[in-house]
This record gives sequence, structure tokens and C-alpha cells, in this order.
Amino acid sequence: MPELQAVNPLDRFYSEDHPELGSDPVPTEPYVSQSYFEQERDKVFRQSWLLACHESEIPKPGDFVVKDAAIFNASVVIVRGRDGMVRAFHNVCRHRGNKLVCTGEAGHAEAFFCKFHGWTFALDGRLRGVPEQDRFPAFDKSQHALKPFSMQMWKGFVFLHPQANPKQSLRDYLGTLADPLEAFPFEQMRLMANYSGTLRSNWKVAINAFQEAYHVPTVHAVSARTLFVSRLCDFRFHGPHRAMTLPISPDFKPKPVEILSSRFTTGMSQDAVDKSDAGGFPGTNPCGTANFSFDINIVFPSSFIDVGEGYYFTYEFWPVQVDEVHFVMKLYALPARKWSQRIGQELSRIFLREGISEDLSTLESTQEGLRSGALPDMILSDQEIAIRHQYRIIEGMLRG
Amino acid sequence: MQKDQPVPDVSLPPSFESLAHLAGEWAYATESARREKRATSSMPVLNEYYNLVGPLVPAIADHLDTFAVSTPLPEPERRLFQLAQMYMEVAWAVEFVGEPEEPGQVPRQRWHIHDID
Repeated sequence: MPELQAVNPLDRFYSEDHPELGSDPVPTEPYVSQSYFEQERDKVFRQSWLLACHESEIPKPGDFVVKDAAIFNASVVIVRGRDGMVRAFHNVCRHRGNKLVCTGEAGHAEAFFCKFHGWTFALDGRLRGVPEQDRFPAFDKSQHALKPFSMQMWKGFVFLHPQANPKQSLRDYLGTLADPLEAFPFEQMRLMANYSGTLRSNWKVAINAFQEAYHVPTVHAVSARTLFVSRLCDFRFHGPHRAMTLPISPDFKPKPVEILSSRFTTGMSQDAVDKSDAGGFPGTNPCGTANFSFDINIVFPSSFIDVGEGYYFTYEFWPVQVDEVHFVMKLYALPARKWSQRIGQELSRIFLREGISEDLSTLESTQEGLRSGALPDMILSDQEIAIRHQYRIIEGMLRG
Repeated sequence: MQKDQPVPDVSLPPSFESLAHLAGEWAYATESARREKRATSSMPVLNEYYNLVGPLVPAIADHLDTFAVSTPLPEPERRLFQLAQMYMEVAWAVEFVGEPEEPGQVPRQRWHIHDID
């Protein structure tokens, strides 16, 4: 009997493990069709939990973030109350519907004050003040609190759901994707970088740019040509969600500033990192991949929680229109214990920002190409299996 | 004065006075201001900064590590720290790109840096 050969995870053909995903080209209509987009809104986004922030971003009572979710025609304010609890409300005054919080995406408030007629709401949503209240006959303030928006938390992450009574709890929704991440010390990390913007591309064009590494030698020729290989490995499908691992190339040739930075930090990890004897940082690299860099975890449909040794970063992609997407990208890391570590972390922040900029650089031109109708479908390599998985999941939800 | 403007006092800790002439123009408190400074500077200017500051970064780190990270730095040290942060920004242009900005990217004005400093 021939001896089984261990296959390098970078050399594996993952499609062979997943014949159910097929191998045919996938249609381009889902990227350009208005009717497809409307079906996605009703049958995908209205059925899903969406990442909005991490509670560490609103540490003090009165700290809040606002999420404008065009896909639901909703604006949501997420706020920490005086009792320490995090709540989510429709960002809508209960009087005539004016938006309560209009400026920026985050801030601090002692109460929410409507600029239209001056109604005031406490941080827990209760209606506190109504000018000339006696002009409202038989008015009961307790009946006019801010309307709650469905919200649940897992490991400090705040997720929103557009339905008042979601059929599935957040933890059930996350399923086995969340299992290995339970050990990751998200709660110890702090926000280090926060970027946002709006681009003229379908939301899936944006997602696709972050779920394969085939593009590394071209798109990241400046930032990471020698740092990463052009292949992801250990593709893991968890129901509608997906995970995969990106290794560092054994041929990595660091630049002088990277060598300098590594004297202060190891990537974004700190010397205080508690690595287990089993190898690796808790909650990362579940397959024990050599030369581990970070795990990509895609929470269906459009959120990422990518974890590395001592840091993690999140991406949120919020569809606006069929050909418009709003992105939010955040980097979190263990707090520096020395000023030199903060200097090292600065390079990590720049590296992530510029790498993201490279990833975003193709989205609008890809959307233009797809919109031209020149391609009825697109051919995908084995390394683009996550795109195929995404297509099958969405098709199943739309047709099923 | 807005927080992304260079600070008017340009004094540095005594052992780093050789960099004092840079502090007024290069010590920025925010990531967005540092990025803008890099993007709007010429390569000869960026190279000059890179060559002047780079050799001193290890000594800067050693000096700053004598202060607790949990408390605000004295003003001269704070400026020194910002010069080191700016060095990382400049090194990106010098070592990786060879230009102040990487060509072909989404214009920086189209996405927003929410400063965390």
C-alpha cells in the first residue's frame, strides 16, 4: 500500500475537497443587476447579523457610534449608557422623525438632543425632555422612548440585525466560525486605526478583493511582494461563513525600516504576548500553518474579523447601491508597553493602510468592466474558491 | 491652533537638538497630518528627512523608553516621538514606493482617516 504523502497546504487543490461548489465560471450578473441587488437586500442582508463596531470603541458612558445602513434605509446609534450597558437605537427622534445624530460617525454625548424641536433623550433611550409638553394633550413620555434596533454582542463585537426579532441568535448565526476565535483576547486590544470611505463598486467586488491572495504579486507589488505568497491556505467553510490563512513567504526580504521596526515590535505583537506551548497566539492559526501571518474570517455576508499574533483588524462593507459600497476598516492591537513599541506600531499602521489602499485600487475599474457587459461570467482559479463559495451561498438564499 | 498643525515650540530633548530645525515642520500629532505631509512633499525633501532622522531612531526609542507609556510625554519628548512616527511615514515613500504616493491608488481625499492618537 503506497504511503500517504503530506501535501503542503499551499499546493493543495481545495476545489477537490469541495466538489459541491462546482468548477464552472460564475455569472457576472450578481455584480451589476439592480433586481439582483434588491433580492440580496431582502433575502441576504435582512436575514443577517452585521458587524457594527467593538465595544472597546465606546468605553465610557455617553460614547457612541453611528452606523448609516443604507441597505436597510436605517441609521443606528450605538451608545454606552450610564449603567455601562451598550444599546442600539434607531437614530430617529420620536417626534417627527428627524435624525438625532448627524455629525460624524462617533462621539460623546450626555444625552441626545434633537435639533428640530429640542426633544431630549437619555442614553438609555428614555424620553427626558419635551419643550412645551403641555401642548401635547394626554402625553405620556414613557411611550415615546427611542426605538431599539436589534443588537447582540459576541466577544465585545456589536452586531446589528434589521429584524425586530431575529430568528437566530448572534452566536448561533456565527456557528463554528466563532469556535476557534473564542480564545482570542479581543478584549485586551485597543483601536489603533480607523479608515472609511465610499467607492463605486458592488459590495461583492469589494469583498472579493480581500478573500484571495492571487493578486498579491500584482496589486501588492509595492507593499508586500516578498512578504506574502500568492496563495491562501486551509480554506474552512462554516455554513455561510468562510475562513482561511495567509502565510508569510519563506523568501520574505524585509526592508531596512522593517528590520528597524522589528527591534521594537514583532509585527503588531508585543513582547508581553502570551504564546501557548502548543504554538501560536491564542485563537489563531487553527490548522498550525507554517510561517503563519494572519487568519481571514469572513462573517457572512460582508464583515471580516482577521486575527494575527497580538492584533486583529476588521472590515465592514455596507452596500449603498448596486454599484456603491461604504467601507470601514479598523486595526486593533495590544496596547504598547513602551514608547519604542508605539514607534514600531506606527509602521504596522502605515503598512495596513497602504496595503488596503492597494486592495481598493482595483474595485472601481473592475466594476466598470463588469458593467460593460463584456463578460457574462468570470473564470475562477482554485485559489479563488472563497468567491465561488460566496456565490453558491447567496444563490441558495435567493433561490431557496 | 488645530491639532494637526505643527506645534510652535520646537525644542527637543538636549541629546536630540540636532533635529530641532525639523520639529516645526515635521512633528505632527495625527496620522492624517503625517500622511498628508508625506504625500505633499517632494522626494528630495523626504530623502533628506529620512537620512537625517533614520540613524537616530534607535536612540530616540531608547530615550523615550525611559518614560512611562501610561502617562503623557513632556513636550520636547512628545515632539521627538512625533518625529519618529513621521520617520516611519517617510520611510514608506523612500523604501517601498520611491515616490511620495503610490501611483494608481484611490485618491487619498476619497477616504477618511479617523485619527486615533
